[in-house]
Amino acid sequence: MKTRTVWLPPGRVAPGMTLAVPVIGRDGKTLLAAGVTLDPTTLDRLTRRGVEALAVSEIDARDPAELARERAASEERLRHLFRGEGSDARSELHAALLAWRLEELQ
Amino acid sequence: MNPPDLEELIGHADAIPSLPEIVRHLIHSLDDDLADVDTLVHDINADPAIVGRLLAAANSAAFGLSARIDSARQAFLVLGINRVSAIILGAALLDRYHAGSPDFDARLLWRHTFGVAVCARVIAEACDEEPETAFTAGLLHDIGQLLMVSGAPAAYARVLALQSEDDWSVLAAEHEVFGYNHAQAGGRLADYWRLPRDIAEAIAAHHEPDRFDSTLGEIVHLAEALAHALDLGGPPNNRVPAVSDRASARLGVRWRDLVSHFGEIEARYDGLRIALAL
Repeated sequence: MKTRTVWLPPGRVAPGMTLAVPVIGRDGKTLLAAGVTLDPTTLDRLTRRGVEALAVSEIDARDPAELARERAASEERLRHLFRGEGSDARSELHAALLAWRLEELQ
Repeated sequence: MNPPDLEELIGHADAIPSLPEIVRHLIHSLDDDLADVDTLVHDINADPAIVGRLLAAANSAAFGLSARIDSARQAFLVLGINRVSAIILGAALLDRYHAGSPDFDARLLWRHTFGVAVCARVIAEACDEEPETAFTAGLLHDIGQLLMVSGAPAAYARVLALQSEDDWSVLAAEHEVFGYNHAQAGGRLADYWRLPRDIAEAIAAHHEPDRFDSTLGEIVHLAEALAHALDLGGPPNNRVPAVSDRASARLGVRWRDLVSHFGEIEARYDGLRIALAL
């Protein structure tokens, strides 16, 4: 079954979810590896380590037509947000956002 | 009636509430490993409204805690000084500066500034700069708009009309109506409030970082662009402002290298909005 990675804040993360991206501490060390099933004790520990968001795996139930509509809407919104002339850095930001949004909607 | 010039506008600064003492104390303690938690807890407990906000937000900011956070001291122990400081500063700003004018929605401004604060923290982390100072500067970067709305509501309504009806940028519209912009006004207000020098400079520099020598200003400048690009709290007519090539180069920020943080930024922003009921 197809899955996708979703970043969630506290309050939207529940025990039983699977961690999709490792949690890295401020010292660069891995606090929790990807693939771990989250339990209350682990979540409590992450709070105390200052973690503010977690990436979890969830089943991707979106159908291709829905994804295509979302991709078109994202491209249109980004064109609107980046309307007008801009610097190279602004163009690079536009390109990075577009690539990320489209990757999320594959 | 002509809008006030910058000097006259600063004369209106007393008409808006100043920051609570505990917030000033926290701002001056940012990134200070030796900050005295006992003193901070004592000061926080002197303000019941802030304690109430802190506890509500702290319990929302925790992942599935086994026990609820029921005191300011426990909030420090569980969440740490930096997150408690962010919550208190955010709550104080929301509680004190909610008034706008019929044309100006302060909540929209705060949603935007929380987005900029979260982006500033991530960019600072990527650049090995102090993330909590960057977060605070991001949260305060648009205080000049509050002063302009408060000191000249009719004139600021013309700024908003130029934006919404004719798609002017906020800077161009402010210059057209006032002859100066909210970054200049905000820098002056930060000085008046005696905020730390680096934060005051960052507020003044955030739209024109090339005219200043402020690393923090450059971080807030790029954070502003990223928050608009991610549409964090953005209105329908949102637009990504100018982005300085020089600031990007000086900080060594390459947007494609930050892509892996975008999802996390959105989640952190959602977490703050939930915690502060924004």
